[in-house]
Amino acid sequence: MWGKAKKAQASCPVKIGNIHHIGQRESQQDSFSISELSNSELCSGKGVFAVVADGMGGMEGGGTISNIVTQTMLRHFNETPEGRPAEVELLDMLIAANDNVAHYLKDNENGGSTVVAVIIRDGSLFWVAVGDSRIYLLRQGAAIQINREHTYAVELDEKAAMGEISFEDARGDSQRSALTSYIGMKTLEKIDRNLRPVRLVDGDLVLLMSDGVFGALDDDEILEAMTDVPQKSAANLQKRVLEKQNPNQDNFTAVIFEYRGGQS
Amino acid sequence: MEMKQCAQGGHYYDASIHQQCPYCNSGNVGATMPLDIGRTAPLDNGISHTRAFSDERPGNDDGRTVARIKEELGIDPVVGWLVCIDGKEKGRDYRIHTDNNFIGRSEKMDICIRGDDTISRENHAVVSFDARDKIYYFSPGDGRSIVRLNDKAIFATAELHAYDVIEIGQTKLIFMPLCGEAFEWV
Repeated sequence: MWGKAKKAQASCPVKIGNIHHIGQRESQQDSFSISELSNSELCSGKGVFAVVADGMGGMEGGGTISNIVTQTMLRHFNETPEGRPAEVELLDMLIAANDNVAHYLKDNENGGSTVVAVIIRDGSLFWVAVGDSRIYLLRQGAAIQINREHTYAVELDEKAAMGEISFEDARGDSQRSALTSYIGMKTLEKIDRNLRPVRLVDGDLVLLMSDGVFGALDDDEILEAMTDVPQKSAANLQKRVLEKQNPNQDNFTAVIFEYRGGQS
Repeated sequence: MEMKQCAQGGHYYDASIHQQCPYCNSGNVGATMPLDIGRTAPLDNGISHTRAFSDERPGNDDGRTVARIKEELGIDPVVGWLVCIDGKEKGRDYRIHTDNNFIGRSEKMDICIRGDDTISRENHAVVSFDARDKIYYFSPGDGRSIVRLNDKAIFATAELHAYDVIEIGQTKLIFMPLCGEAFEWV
C-alpha cells in the first residue's frame, strides 16, 4: 500500500512538509489541511491545495472555528468539479468557510479565524488570505511575503506615511497586532488574493504559516531553516521556534510545498 | 521517515513514529465536527492571542484583572442577563459577569451585539455588577448615539433593576439579574 502511494506521489508536482505545535498555550487554535497528494489524478487535474487557519478567542473555541475553516475549504476543493478557475474556486471556498463560521457563531460565543490558502495548478500558484497569517514564496535563497496582512498596523503605518499621525504613535499603538479583517465577520472587510497566476519554477518553496512561526523567527531564520527537503525543513522550523524558549510561545503551524515541475 | 497523509484532515506525519495522525488526535484539530458543537475552552490568559481589532477595554485589557468573585470560585460565573426583545438579534440573550461588561459590535466586547450596525464597535455602553454591594449599573460609553434606560436618555451611570429596558442603537434589551437577596455566588 505504501509502495503504491509512493509511486503516486512521485507524479505529484510538489513535495510536502508540515508542522503543527501547541507552543506554550493551553489550547491549539491553529488548524491546517492539505489535499490528497497520493491521488495522482487529483494532482494532475485540480492540482494541490493547502490551508492554514489561526483561530481567535479564548473562551470562544478558536480551535473549533479554525477547524471549520480548514475542513470547509478542503471539502470544497475536493467537491468542486474540474474546470473552475482556481482564483474563483479559492474565493468560493473562502465565502463558504465564512458562512459556516457565521452559522457556528450564531449559536455560540464570539470568535473568528485568519486563513491563508493556496492552490498550485499547472505550474501556477493561486492564493487567498484574510487576517495576519502569511504566505511566503522562497526562490533562489530569498523569501518574499506575497500576501498583505489585515492588521491595524498596516493602517497605522499608512496614516503615519501620510503625515496624519506621528510614526511614534503608529509604532506605539497597543492595537497594532489586532486584525481588521478575519473569517467570522458578518461581511468580510478585506480579502487579499491574486487574480493573475504566479508562475512557479522548479525548486520554488511555498510556505504557509500562522503568526506563531513568524512571531518567533525572522525572515533570515526562516530561510536558514528551509534548506532541506520540505519535511526536514518543517522539522527545522519547529526546532528553531522551540529553541527560542518563549514562555508565551503561541500555537504555530506551517505547511511547506516544494514545487517540482521542471518547467516554468 | 515514513511520511503518511491522514484521510481525515489531510495532515502529513511520520508513520514510523505515530500509529495514527498526531494532529487529528491532539484535540479539536482535524476531526470533522458538526457545526453546532459548543466547546468549553480554557479561560483567556490575555497573552497576545490573535484577536480582532477593537479599542482598549479599560481595566480589562491585560487579562490579569481578575474579579474577586472569579478568584474565589475559580470561575467567572454569570450574574445576570440581557435579553434582546427588539432589534436584529431579538430573542438572543447575553451573559453579564461581575464588574464591567462592555457592549459593542466588536468580537472583543463582553457583550457583542453583532447584528445591529447602529451600535458602535466598541464600548457603546457598559453594564456593571458590583459584587460587593450587589448592585447593577448601566452607563453610557463612547457610542455616538444616545443610550436609553426605560425610554429616558442616559448620560451618567444609573442603577439597573429587574425588567428595566435598555435601548442601544436599534436594539432593546431587557435586564434580568441573578444575584441579589435571593441568590449570590459563594
